[in-house]
Amino acid sequence: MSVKLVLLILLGELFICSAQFLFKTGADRLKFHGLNTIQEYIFFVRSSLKIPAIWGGLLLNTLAVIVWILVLALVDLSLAIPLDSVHYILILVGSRFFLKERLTWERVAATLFIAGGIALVAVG
Amino acid sequence: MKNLSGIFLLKVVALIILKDTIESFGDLFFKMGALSTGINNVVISNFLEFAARITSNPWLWIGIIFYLANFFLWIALLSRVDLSVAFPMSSFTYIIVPFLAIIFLGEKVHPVRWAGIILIIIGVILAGRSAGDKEGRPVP
Repeated sequence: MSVKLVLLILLGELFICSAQFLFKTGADRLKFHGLNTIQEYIFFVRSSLKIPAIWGGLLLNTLAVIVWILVLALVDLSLAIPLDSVHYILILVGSRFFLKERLTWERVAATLFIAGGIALVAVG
Repeated sequence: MKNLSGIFLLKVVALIILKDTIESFGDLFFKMGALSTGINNVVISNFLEFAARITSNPWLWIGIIFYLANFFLWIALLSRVDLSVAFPMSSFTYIIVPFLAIIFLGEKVHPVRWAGIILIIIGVILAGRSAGDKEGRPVP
């Protein structure tokens, strides 16, 4: 792996994970009653589109897709898919430090099982 | 776990399964759109032809509608559950997609993949067990 490729992958991970932290920050500011009727759902969609953090997350997600396409142009897909399991670990660590969430042993174990499972799905 | 968390968890799981099912069908429709182009090796020289064929195909647009619905359900979930729970729990797609691929696309799933899917199922259950932390916040 070249230095350029490693930097691209790190940049992609940074975009993907920051997008999720922004989505979560934005979602925490949302106020809606429920999603039981179409009217409630439309109200919810409109309110979420008024939150800058959600737009920021969408922008970062778009940048992540562009970086991802560049990565795929450099490496084989079978090598790129196991990278999915890296997000899970970064999201867990970031939730603790950026969002101040409580990490119970169940959450840590859940992330490790899923990351391992995705790695197996990728090589299988 | 406190009193309300049983119903809370049930609603969270139902919402995540709905979201992941919509996302998985979105993936299936994208794949069907890609297959319907008749181009199985996209390179720079045929990229425009591929793009023209796939955007004139209804499956792509149905897939995009499913992805938008999936996105807003994800935001709704995040407003009720911690990210460190919602993110691992939404791995249901890794369980649903292989079944859709077997049923609708006639694909075969390798035993190593099944082992991976079982690990993911265990992980999703563990994440669900720790979901009921935000007491008192009703789930949509």
